[in-house]
Amino acid sequence: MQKRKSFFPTFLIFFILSIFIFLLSRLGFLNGLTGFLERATVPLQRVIFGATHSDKWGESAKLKDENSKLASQIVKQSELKRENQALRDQFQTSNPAPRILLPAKIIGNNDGSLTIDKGRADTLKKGDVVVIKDNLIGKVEKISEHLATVSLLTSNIIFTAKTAKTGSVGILKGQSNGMILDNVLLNDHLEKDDLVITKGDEDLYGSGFPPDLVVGKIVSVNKKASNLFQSAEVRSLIDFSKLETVFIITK
Amino acid sequence: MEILFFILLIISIFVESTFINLPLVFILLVVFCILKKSGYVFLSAFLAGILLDLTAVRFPGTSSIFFLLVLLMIMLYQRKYEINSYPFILVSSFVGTYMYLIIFNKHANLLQPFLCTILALVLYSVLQIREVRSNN
Repeated sequence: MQKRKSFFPTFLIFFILSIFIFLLSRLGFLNGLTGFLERATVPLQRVIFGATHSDKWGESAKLKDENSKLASQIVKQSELKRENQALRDQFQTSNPAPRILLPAKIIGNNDGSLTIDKGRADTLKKGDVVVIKDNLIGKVEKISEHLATVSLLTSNIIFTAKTAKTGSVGILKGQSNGMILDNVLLNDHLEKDDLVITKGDEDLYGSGFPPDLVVGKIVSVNKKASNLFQSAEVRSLIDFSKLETVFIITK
Repeated sequence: MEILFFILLIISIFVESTFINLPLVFILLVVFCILKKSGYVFLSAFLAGILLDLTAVRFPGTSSIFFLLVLLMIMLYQRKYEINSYPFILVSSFVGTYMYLIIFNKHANLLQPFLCTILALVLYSVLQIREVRSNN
C-alpha cells in the first residue's frame, strides 16, 4: 500500500497534464508554442537524417539509366503537349491555374512516410502533392506548424492512373512492398516497362493528383481470362529511402 | 544510471522520429521502470512523450498518455508479482510494442515487436549487470 501511495500521485499529475496538453493542442491553442519548439528540434533532426541518409551509395547510376529512358518518354509527351496546346489555343481555353513548387528538406523517413521541414507556416495544406522532378512521391498527410508528414505512394494511397503508351486506365493502390495498377479492363493492353502516370482526377477544391506525373513503371502483368479485370505490379522509379529533398505543389 | 538513461532517452527520441521505425523510447521507459520502480519514470515518460510527439508530427501529449498508462499498469502489477525478471520483460515489451504500433502506426507485423523484445532483453541485461556492479 505504501508503494502505491508513493507513485500514484506522481502518475496522476503527469497524466492530467498530458491530457490537458493534448486537448489544448487539438484545439489549436498551442500552435505558437509547438511551432517554437519544433523550430528548435528541426535542425537536429536534419543533421541526424543527413548523417544517416545519403545518395552517394551507388543508386545514382541506376537512376541515371532510368532518367535517360524517361527523357525519351518526355520527348514524346512534349510533342503531345504541343499538339494539345495548339488545340487549347484554337478553342481559346485557359490553362489550369499556375502551380508553385515549394522545396522541402526531408528530416525523417520511416514506415511509408517522410517527415519534411515545412508546415502550416509555409502555407502547406493537408493533401498537397509532393513530387521530385515530374515523379510523384505522395501527398501531405499530417501537418503541424513547421513540420509535415508525407504519405508515400507505397502507403495506402488510392487514385486513378493510366499507362503512358497505351492509355489503359486503372486504379493505383499503394502497398507496403510496391504498387498495384488494378481494375484495368481485360480489353486494354498492359505491357511490361510501360510508364504509369497520374490521370489527373482533381475535385473542385484541387484535391487529388495533377495529370501526367510519373508514378512508376510496370514490372509484371497479371492477366487471367477468367477474371473481370487485369492488374499490374508497378514500381516507382525513385528510391524513397535515398531522397533528401522533395517539392510540394502549392496552388 | 539515471544520467545514462537520460542520454539514451534523448538519442532514442531523435532516432525513432528520424529513421528507425521501432518504439525505442517506449522500450527504454519499460526497462527503466522495471529496474528502478520509481515515480521518476513518470516524469521521464511525460517529457519524452511530448518531445517525441513534437518531432514525429503528432498532437503533443498523445505519446505521453500511452506511456504513462502502460507504466502505471507495470507499477500496479509489481505490487503483487515480481516484475524484475526476463519473462516479464519479454511479455510486457512484446505486448506493449504491438499496442504502440497499432495505435500510432495503424498497423503492425510481428517482426517489429519481436525485434523490440530482443532489444529490451539485451538492454535489461546490460543495465542490470551495470546496476549490480555499481552496488558492489
